[in-house]
Amino acid sequence: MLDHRGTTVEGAKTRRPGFGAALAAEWSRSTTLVQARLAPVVCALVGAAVAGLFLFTAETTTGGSVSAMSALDVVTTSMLGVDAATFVVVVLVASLVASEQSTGLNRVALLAVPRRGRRLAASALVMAAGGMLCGLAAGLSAFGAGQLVSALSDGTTISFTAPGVARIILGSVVMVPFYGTVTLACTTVARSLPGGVVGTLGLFILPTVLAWIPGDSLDGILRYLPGEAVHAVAGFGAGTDTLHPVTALVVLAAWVVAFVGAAHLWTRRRSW
Amino acid sequence: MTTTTPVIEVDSLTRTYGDTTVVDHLDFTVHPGRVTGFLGANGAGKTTTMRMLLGLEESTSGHARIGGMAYRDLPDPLRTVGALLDPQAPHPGRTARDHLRWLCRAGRIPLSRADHLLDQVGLGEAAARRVGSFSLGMRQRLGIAAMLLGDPAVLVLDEPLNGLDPEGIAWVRALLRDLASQGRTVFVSSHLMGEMEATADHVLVLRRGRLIADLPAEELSRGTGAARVRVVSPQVERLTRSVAGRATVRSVGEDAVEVVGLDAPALGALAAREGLELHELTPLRTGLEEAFLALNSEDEDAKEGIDHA
Repeated sequence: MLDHRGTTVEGAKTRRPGFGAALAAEWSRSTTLVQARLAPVVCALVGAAVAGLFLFTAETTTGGSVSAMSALDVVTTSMLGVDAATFVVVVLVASLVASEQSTGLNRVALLAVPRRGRRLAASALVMAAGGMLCGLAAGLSAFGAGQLVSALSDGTTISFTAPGVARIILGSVVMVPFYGTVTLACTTVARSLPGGVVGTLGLFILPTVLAWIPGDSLDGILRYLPGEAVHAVAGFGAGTDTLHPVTALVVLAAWVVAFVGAAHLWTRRRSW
Repeated sequence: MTTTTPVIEVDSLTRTYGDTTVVDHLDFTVHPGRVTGFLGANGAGKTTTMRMLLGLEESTSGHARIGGMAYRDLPDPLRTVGALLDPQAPHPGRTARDHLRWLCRAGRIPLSRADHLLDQVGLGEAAARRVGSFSLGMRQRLGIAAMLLGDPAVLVLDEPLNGLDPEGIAWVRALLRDLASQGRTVFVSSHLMGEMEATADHVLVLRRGRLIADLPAEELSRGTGAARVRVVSPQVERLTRSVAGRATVRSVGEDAVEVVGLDAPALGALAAREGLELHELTPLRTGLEEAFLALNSEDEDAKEGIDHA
C-alpha cells in the first residue's frame, strides 16, 4: 500500500546521529521560519533607527550636540542601536521556544533527539550563532547610521578601521548572542514567552539594581556581571577594575554555561 | 522486517501525581506482526503510558522499554521508533518539506526521504505549502510521513483516528494493517472502539490506569455477553413463545427479531422441531465497543464484589 521504503534508509552507511546531527537539526529548524530569516534585517533596521534617533536627539537629551562629541563617542552612542536589537532577539527567541512548547513541537524534537542535554546545547549554539548574525547586522547598521548623522551634523566621520572602532562595535555585538542564549535558557525553564523575557531582562538590569546598593562592597562583583563584562569587551569606561577583554569574554561564556546548565538540570526530568 | 524486530515491554509501569495514580502497575508486551490496540476511555492513562514509553515523561516506578532499552538510550531513535502523537505539532509557519527535512537531519536520514514520503502519503503537491494551511487530515498524513522517515520497526500512534473523516480513517486503518503485515510492531491507542474494531488484532484495555484485558480482539468480542442471533421469519410471534424462558427476544424490524441467549444452531433446531419458517438466521458478534463496556462493567462489579456467574 505504501512504498515508504523507496529511498534507501537501511543499508546506507550512515553514522549514528550525534551532536552534529542535533546541531544541524536545530539550525535547520530555526532557519526555516520566516521570522528567523528576517531577524537580521529587522535587527539592522532597528539598530540603525535607534542609533539615528539617539544621535539626532543628543542635544535635547544630553545637552551636547553631535558635533561636540568625539568620533569615538559617536560610535559608542550609536551602539545603543545594538541594545535595541538585543531586545528584538530576546523576544524572537522567547517566542520561538515558547511556541514549540505550547504546540507540542518540542515533543517531536525530543523524539528525534531524546538526550535533552545534547539538544539544549545544540539549540544554545544555534541561538548564539543566529544572535551573532543579528548582532553584526545591527552593529554595522548602527555604526553606519551614526556616521551618517555625524556627517550631516558637522561633516566628520570615522573609519571602521580606525583605532578602537572595531572593538567598540564587535564588543557591543557580543551582547546579542549572549542574551539570546540566556533567553533560550529562561524560556525553557519558564515555558512561556513572558517568563523568558522577564528572566532575561532581570539579568540585563541586575548591574543597575546592584549599583543602587550603598557602599562599595559589591564593586568587586559588579565587573563580573554580564553588562559590565560586555562593556569591558567593547572598551567602554575602561578603568583599573575593568576586566581584560579576554577575561570578560570568558566571564560571559561562563554565564551562558551556567544558565544553560541550570536550564538542563531543571528540565531534564520534566514531563513534556 | 527481520525476526529481531524489537518488542515493546512494559513492566510494572506506574505514574502518580500526588495522591492520584494515573497509570497503575501496567504489565504488557507488544509483539511485532500485528496491530495492537491500546484502548480505553478518555483519561484512562493511554497517553501518559505512551509518553513514558517514548521518554517524554518520567515514570514513578517501573519500566517501559523498546527492544530492551529505554527510549532515551536508543542509539538511533528515528530508525528504531516512529511516533505520531499530535498532528498539530508542526509549526504552522514551516513548509511540510522543511518540517520533514529537519527531522531527517536529526536522524542522519537522506533528505530525499522527505519528498519521497510526502509523495507516498499524498502530500507531494503540498510539500512547499506552509503547514498552517493544512487540514487536519493533511496534518495527520504529514505526521505519518514524519513517523516513517527512518523506516522504523516500531510504530507508536496516539489516537491517530481522531477528527478524521471516514476516508481518512479507512486510509490510516489500511496503512496500519499494511505496516503490521510487514512484521513491524504497531501500537495504537484510541478511545474509538468501533473504529479500532476493524483495525486491531490484539487489544490492551485500560481503565483508570489499570490493565483489565490483554487478549486477541476476536476473543474479546466473542467472550463477552450471551449469544445473539438475528432471525427473520413470518412467524416471529410463535418463535418468541417457543423461546420464552430460555432467551430474550427484541424486535428489530418487520418480521425481524434479535434473540439473546440461544445460539444459531439451537435456534435452527428449535425452528425445525416447531415447523417455523425461517428467512434469515445470522449470528451477531459482540462489537468491540459493547465488549469494552461489558468489560468495564465486570471490572466495576468485581471491585464491588458482585458475582456475575
